[in-house]
Amino acid sequence: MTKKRWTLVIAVSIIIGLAQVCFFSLLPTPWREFLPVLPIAAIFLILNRPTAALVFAGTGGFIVDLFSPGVSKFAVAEYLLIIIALAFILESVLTNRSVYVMATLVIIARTLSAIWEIVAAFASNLLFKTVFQTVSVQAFFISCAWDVFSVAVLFFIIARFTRRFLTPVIQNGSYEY
Amino acid sequence: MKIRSRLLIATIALVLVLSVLQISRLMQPVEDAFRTVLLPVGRFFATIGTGTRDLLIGSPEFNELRDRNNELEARARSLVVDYVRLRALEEENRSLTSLLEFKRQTGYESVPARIIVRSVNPRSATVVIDRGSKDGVETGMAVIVGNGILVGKVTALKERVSTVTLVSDQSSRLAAASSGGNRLFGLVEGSGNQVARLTLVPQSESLERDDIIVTAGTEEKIPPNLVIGIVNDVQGTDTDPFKSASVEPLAKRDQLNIVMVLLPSAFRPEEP
Repeated sequence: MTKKRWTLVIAVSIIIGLAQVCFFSLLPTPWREFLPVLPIAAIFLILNRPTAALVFAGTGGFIVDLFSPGVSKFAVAEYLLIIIALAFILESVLTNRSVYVMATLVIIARTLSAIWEIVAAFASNLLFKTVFQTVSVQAFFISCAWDVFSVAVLFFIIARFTRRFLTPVIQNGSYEY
Repeated sequence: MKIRSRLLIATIALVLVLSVLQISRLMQPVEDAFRTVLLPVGRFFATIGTGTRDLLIGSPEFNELRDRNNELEARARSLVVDYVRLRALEEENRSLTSLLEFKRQTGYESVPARIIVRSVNPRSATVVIDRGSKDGVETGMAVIVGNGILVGKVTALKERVSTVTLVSDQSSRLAAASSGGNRLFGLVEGSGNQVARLTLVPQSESLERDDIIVTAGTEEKIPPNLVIGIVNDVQGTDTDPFKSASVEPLAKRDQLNIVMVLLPSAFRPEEP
């Protein structure tokens, strides 16, 4: 990727991170459960851009940590580790590229995020005697629904305006892309 | 896509370093600097977020005012109900007082009754009262309201309820006299729509607008001098054998609530 594209990725991640923490968090349920950093980072993975996904997740997580109220939830570490885990899943389990894979991937991401929060809350309480609220079951499912919706929309937009994700068609006995 | 081991190690190392820096608060100056730089953008997002939230759920001030308004409206509704009930009680009290006064003055025996049904047809002026033959009510008895204003007479009877045909009903016929005259003078016939007509008034009788028409007392169960209504308009010429006039009954069907059925024993001539 060119420097210009890296700059764009970082700028977008900052804006999306700020939007997640300063805009969507102020809205009522179910809007406030829309957490766009992770699904967009997952899109980069689907587009075969794991480094961009990591940079996006790291920057977005940093911004989330910067403006999150109360105790830090180590969002940078959370997002980076989740993206690493998703990359391994994409490499070894979900090897095709479809909207269903996208949906599965973001649901896994959101589940890992919830597990991270529970572990972080437990560790934080154990080590530093600090307490923070973990995500509620209702909020978790709403976030999952938002994630699936947003990645599906993004997937279709990308598929419509680029030649990515096009399936091979047998034509004259050979595969054409 | 291959996650190279170097990238993996670098990421994990970065996570660990960042975590340590964050826990030890060594990142604080860097974070503060970033926060300072990004604060205007964050503030911009927060402004839009607050505006959007207000749009979605209404601002706190708006919600507070709406709640207050709802509360006041509920209180006003409650007060209106209380007011209407008090007005009804006041009206009922006035009506009962008048009836008692009339009873005290005349000495007539009577049965108080409440109107429980009103006819919905404007041409038919009938009501049902909650007294019947078990309470001593008989067909043809006079039903009055207030201080001796005739409402109508009982025309149908059941054990517990009776039908009263009002003066303005098209089937109503009453012998009438002018106030103070106390002799047969004409016939009040109902015309529907809360209006009646005074007919068969001899030319020799004086009849003018605003004259008060009362019962003649010639009917067996209706005493004399119960007010029927007021003359509105006199018709007929000097050559006509009889005069007629439109009469406005004083007892309005829609304003009736408590009435009194006059028992005839009081004004029947005693047996020798």
